[in-house]
Amino acid sequence: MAFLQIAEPGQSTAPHQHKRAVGIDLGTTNSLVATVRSGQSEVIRDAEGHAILPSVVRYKSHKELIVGVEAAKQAELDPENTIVSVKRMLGRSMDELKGADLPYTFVTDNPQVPNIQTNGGKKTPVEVSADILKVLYQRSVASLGDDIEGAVITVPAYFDDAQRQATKDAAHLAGINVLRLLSEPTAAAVAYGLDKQAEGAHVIYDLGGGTFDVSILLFSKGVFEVLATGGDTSLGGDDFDSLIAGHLHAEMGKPALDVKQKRSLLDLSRTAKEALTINDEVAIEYQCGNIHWRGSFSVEAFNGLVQPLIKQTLKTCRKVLLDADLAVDEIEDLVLVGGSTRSPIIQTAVGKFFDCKPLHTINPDHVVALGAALQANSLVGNARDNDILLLDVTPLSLGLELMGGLVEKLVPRNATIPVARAQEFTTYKDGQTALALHVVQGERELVEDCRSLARFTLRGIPPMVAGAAKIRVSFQVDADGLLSVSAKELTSGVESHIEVKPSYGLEEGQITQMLQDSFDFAREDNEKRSLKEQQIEAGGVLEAIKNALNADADQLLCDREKADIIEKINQLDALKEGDDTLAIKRACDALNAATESFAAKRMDSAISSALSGQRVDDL
Amino acid sequence: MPETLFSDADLKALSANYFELLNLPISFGVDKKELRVHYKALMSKCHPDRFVGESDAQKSAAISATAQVTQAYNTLKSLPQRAAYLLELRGFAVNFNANLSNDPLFLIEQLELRESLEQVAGSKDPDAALASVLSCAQKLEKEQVQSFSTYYEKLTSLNQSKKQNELLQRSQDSVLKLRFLEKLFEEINALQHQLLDE
Repeated sequence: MAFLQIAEPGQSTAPHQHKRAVGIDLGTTNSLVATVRSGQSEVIRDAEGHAILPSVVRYKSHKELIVGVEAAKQAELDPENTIVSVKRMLGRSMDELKGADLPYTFVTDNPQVPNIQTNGGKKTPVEVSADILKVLYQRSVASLGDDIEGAVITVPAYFDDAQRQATKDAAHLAGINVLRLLSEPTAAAVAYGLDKQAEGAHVIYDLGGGTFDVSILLFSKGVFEVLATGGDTSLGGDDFDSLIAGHLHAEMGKPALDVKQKRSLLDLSRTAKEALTINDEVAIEYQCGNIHWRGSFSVEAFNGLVQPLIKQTLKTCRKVLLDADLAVDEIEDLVLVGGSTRSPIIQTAVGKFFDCKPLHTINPDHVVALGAALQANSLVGNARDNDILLLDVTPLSLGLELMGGLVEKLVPRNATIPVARAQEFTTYKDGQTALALHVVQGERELVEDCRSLARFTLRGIPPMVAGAAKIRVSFQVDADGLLSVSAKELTSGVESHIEVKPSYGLEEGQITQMLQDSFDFAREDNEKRSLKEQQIEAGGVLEAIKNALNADADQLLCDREKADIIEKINQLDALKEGDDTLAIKRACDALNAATESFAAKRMDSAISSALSGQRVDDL
Repeated sequence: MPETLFSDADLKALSANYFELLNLPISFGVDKKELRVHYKALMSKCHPDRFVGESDAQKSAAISATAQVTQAYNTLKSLPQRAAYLLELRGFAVNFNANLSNDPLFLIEQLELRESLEQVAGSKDPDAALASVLSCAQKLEKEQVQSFSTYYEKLTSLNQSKKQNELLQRSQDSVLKLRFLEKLFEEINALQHQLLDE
C-alpha cells in the first residue's frame, strides 16, 4: 500500500527513504504494538497513553464491538459475548475446545472451525484475533500515518503449523501485510540487542500468565537461530495465584466459598504476589460476602509455595539444554520475559541455575513487541548496517501416515526452516490407482497419537503391481513455518499438490503432552509399532500368496502341497488380528517356508514361459 | 540491498553437489565449524527474509534455495548421511534396508547396548549407567568413522579394480552401522529427557 514515489525532474528519490513498519505482540492476555523511531524501538500508545491492549473483545451488537480495557472490565458482566484469551483457541478444532471450560456458545456447523455465537454474530477465533489486530493497527496508523509497509507478528516458538496459519489469516483479515511471523523468544533476544554482542548462546525464559516456555538461541556470523525450545503451556502466573489463594484459604480455616468469593480471593492473591516483588511481607484484608478475614503473607511463605513450580520450569530448562547439546557454562546471557518473572525468587532461582545475571531491564511485558519492531524495521530495509538473519525451527515433527497407522517423519522437530524434504513411497496393492496421503505432526510413532493436519489423494496412478509405482512426496516449510505438500508419481508424472491450510491446530498443551508422551511411551510405542509392522507384513504375505495360488496352484501344485499351504494361510489369518507379535511372525515364517517350493516352481514356470518359442541359442 | 536475482555464480552453486554448494572438499572428514560457518553465510544470502519486498517468484525461489542449502547442510552434518552421499556421488545408492547379518558381532553389541540402555532407568546410578552406554556408543562410532574413511580412501584411489564391489559393500555396511549408532544416540537423548522427569 506504499504510495508511488514521484521524483522531481532531475532528482532521484531519496536513497534511504525511511519505511514504516511495526512489530505486534498478539498475546494471550495482552497485546501491543511497537515501532522504530530514530533508531529506537518504542511501544505505540493509544490516545489515553496506554501501551497495553488487553486481548479481550466484547461483541455488544452487530454494529458495536469493544476491544481492550473496557471490554476486559465488562467480561464478568457479559461473559457470553466477551471473548478473552482467544489465542488459546486460535488454530484449534471444536473437538479440542470441548475440554476447556469456556463460557461461550459454539455453533457447530463445521466441527473444524469453532464459531462463537455472540451478539455481533458468529465469530471464529481468527476473526476475534483480527479485531484485536485492527485496533493495534489503527493505533499505528494514527501514530505513523497510513503508509505502513507491514508488520512482524510474534508467535510462541511452540506454535504449530495450524496456529501460525491462523495467526497469519487473522492479520490478513485485519488488512495487515505480514512481513514475517517471528518467534517470541527471538524477538525478546533482538530487543536486548543480543545480536549486537559477542557470539554465543542465549537463554530466553518466558513465564507469562498462563504459559511457560524457554528457548536457547545461538548467535554467530550474523545469524540468530533457535537451537531448541520447550515449555509447559499450562503453567504460569495464574498457578502462582491459585497456590496463594489455597494457602490463604487454609489460613482462614477453609470456609465454604461461592464463585464470586473465589474470584475475589484470586484477585487478592495476585495483588499480594505483585506487592511481594518489592516488600517482604504484605497485610491481607479479605472482605467478600459473609467472610471478613485479616492476616499477612510473607515472602518466605510465597517462596515456599512456588518452589515446586519453579523446579518444574528448571526441569524444562535442563531438557532444552540437552536438546541444544549445551552445558550451563556455555550460556552467555539469560533474558527474562513475561510478567511473572518480576518475582525476585524467580530471578534468583533461574539466574542461579544458568549461572548468569538475568537480564530484565526492559519491561517484560513490552520486550517481545519491541524486538518485533526492530526486526520489522530491518526487513523493510531500514537497518542496512545491522542485517541480522533470524532462523526459526519447526516445533514438531511433520510426517505422513503409512499403511497400518504408522508415521514416517519427513521433517524432524527442531529443523531449521525453510526446509524441504522428499521421500519415495510405493503402492501396497496390485493395480492401485490412487494413493491417499495423510499429513500429520507429532513425535509419536502411531498416527492415532499424532495430530492430523491434512488429507489429500493422488489419483491417476497407472495400474501396476504392488510396489512398482514410485511416488515422491515433498514437504516444504516456509520461513513462517507454514507447510505445503506435493506428491508425484515418477513413472507417469501424475501430480497432486496441497497447501496445508488446516482450519485448526493443536492445543498448546497438547504439543507438550505429545512430546512428553513420545518420550515416556517410547518403549510401548516400539512394541505397538512392531506389532503393527508384523500385522502389515502378514497382510502383504497373505495377499501375495492368495493371488499366486489363484493364478498357478492348479498347474503347479499337487493336492497335498496345496492343502499344506492353505492350512498355513488359515493359521496366519486367524492370528493376524491378534496382539501376539511373535506368534504372527512365526505363522508368517511358516507360511513362507511352506511356499518355498511353490515359489521356485513359479519362477521356473515364468522363465520357461518367457523362453518358450525361442531357442536358447537365440538369446 | 538484496540482489533482485541470484548472481550467476550463486545459481551455479545451487545446482552443484552438496560439498561444492557448501564450499567444502569432497571428503568424509568435514570440519564441523567450517560447515556451520559456510552454511550460515549461504543462508544469510538466500533466506526469504532477504527478499521481503520482491516478487512471489523471487520469494519462492528463495525458499527453495534455502531449503536446498539446509538439506545439504543436514546431509553433511550427519555421519551416515554424509557417508551415503559420498557413495551416491560415486554412483552407488546405499540400501538402508540391507541387513548386517554378515557381522553378527556388531549386531550383538548393538543388542547389548540397547539392553543396557533399557536397564539404565532401573539402575542405582542412572546417570553413570547412561554415561557408560554413551561412551561405548561413541567408541563404536569412532571405529566406524575410521573404517568408512579407510574404505572410502581406497575406493577413491582405486581404478576399476576387482575389489571395488567388495569395498562398496563394506562401505555400505559402515554406513548402516553409523546409522544404527545415530539412532542409538537419539534413544539416549530421549532417555535423558525421561530421566529428568523422574
